[in-house]
Amino acid sequence: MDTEDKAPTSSGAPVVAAEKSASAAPKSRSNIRSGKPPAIDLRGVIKKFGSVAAVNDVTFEIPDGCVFGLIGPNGAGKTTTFSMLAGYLRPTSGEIYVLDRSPDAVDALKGKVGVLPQDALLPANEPVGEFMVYLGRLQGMSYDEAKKSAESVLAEVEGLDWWKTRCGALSHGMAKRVGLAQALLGNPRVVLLDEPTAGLDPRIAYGVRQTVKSRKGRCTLVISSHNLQELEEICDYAAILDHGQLVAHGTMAELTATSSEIRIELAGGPIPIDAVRVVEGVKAVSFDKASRELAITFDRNVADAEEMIKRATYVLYQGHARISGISKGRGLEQRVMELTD
Amino acid sequence: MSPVTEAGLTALRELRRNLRSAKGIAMFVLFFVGGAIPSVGQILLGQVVDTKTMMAKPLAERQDVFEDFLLRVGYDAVTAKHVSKCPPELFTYLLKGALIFLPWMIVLIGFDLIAGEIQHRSIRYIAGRARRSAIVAGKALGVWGVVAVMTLVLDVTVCTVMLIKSDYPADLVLSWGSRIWVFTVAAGAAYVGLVTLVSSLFRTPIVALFVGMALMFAVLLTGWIFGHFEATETVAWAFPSAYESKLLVSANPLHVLGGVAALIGWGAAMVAGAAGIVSRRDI
Repeated sequence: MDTEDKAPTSSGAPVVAAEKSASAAPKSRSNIRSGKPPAIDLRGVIKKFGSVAAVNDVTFEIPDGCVFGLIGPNGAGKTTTFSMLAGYLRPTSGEIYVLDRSPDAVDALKGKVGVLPQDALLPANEPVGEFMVYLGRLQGMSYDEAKKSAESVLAEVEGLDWWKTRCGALSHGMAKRVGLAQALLGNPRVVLLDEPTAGLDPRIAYGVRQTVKSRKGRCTLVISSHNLQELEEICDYAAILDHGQLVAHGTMAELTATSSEIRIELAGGPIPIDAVRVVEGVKAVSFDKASRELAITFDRNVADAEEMIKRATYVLYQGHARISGISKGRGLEQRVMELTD
Repeated sequence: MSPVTEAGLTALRELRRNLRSAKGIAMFVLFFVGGAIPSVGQILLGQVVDTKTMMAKPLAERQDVFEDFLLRVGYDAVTAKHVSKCPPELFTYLLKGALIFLPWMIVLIGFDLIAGEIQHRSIRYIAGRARRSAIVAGKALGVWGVVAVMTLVLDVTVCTVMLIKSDYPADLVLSWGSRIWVFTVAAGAAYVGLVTLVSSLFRTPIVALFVGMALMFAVLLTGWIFGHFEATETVAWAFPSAYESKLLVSANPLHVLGGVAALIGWGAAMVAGAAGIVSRRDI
């Protein structure tokens, strides 16, 4: 089955590997679609550890106000990219702008960027409330403001009861939620979350997802995660990395092809592929015998996904096909599987 | 927010953390007991043992004996005369003793100052909110504050016992006691700076501990050796241990101020080096 490696961007398809060199060219720092400056902009970013390039010539933008997923298998360069966005690591070459500033411009970005770093231990001997107030004060708040803000974000993660608990006495899930709370302290414009639900039990992970969702539209959220289902559910945009390189990026709808592809699962019986091929708007049809899945790619300018489902199912019923399932696009998991090793 | 405010907030946090952590309390007790027992013991036992000899002599005569001793151990005539006014217990234990043990105490308190934060990545929670140089300066200031508090408690305790139990005039005890505290705090600045620099070079605290110990030993020994030979005396100025005998206890107030400033400057230069390293390194 084709993997859409040459899909054009002008039609709204994701920017993929074949176009990476073009997208790496310098351009003005405003989002192509909205005209607004992006919240985060990476241009030709390379990060080497010794002779190994953990991130290699990565270029993409994160639109202001969106929820953006950073996706890829282990060793793809997600955490390295994330750490450069947070200012923990310096790129070997290339440029990164967060709210039009270099990520290490601490004073300019103070209070505007919140970060949940992966695997960073909270100070074991410090009570949660005291640590949060200290962080708030470093952001420029007065003691009272910092205390109020800390109480507010801890309440948001259902952790207000831990105010006097030493950070070292918190369970993994509690510590993760305190980590999330400190990232949200002072309502930052950009929130970077590295694996926010990793290692959490489903109930707590659900709570964290709800907290993140509640922030949607109030700030730009960047989430690095292995949990593709979670990212597909939360994110508007995403970038897929593999072996340190950007293999695709775009809106979630583009990446999962939900606006240009439908999939119809067929039970045993006739498969009238030729009849589907002549449906107006259909560009390509393929059938996977193993999964008995019919993949229909269509021109989104001729018909939207719902209209195409109507037309295709009509033709299939006419041809006595037995439909057992219908879905839009491929699902993020399948897309990532196609694009990464 | 100014870097000074960031450093101040970090220093206060570091001070709080040290004074209530198990390690901080253990170090405090160790330093206090190690300093107070011999000095207070000397004050109390000296009265019993030396009543018929030294303590029976008038104060001026005892000061002459002490001056002779200072001349024998290498102080010049003017300095020996000046220092002989200091109660020997304060000079021996609170100044000399502290200058020997304080560097090691500071290594034990501060070896994980930066390395520990980098190893556990805890520094990432604050690196986006404060300049890294301010974080390093604040942490160093915090440890320096701990040193100041520890030495203050020790000095106040010993001076109080001295005021009650010895026949030294209160003005001598208080003026030398406070001066000695300033000297040890100034010396502490230099050693805190050195430990901060070492801690900023490593990700693993235990490595920082051993390297810090080795480097501290090398600095103290080299400074002591260079200071004992005329040919190398100039080089000894590069080592903080040289400033005590040459500047801090000098009869000339300008030399004293210069010594205090030089020690603090030495420490500040080390902290600046550490700040430069942490600002440039990946965390």
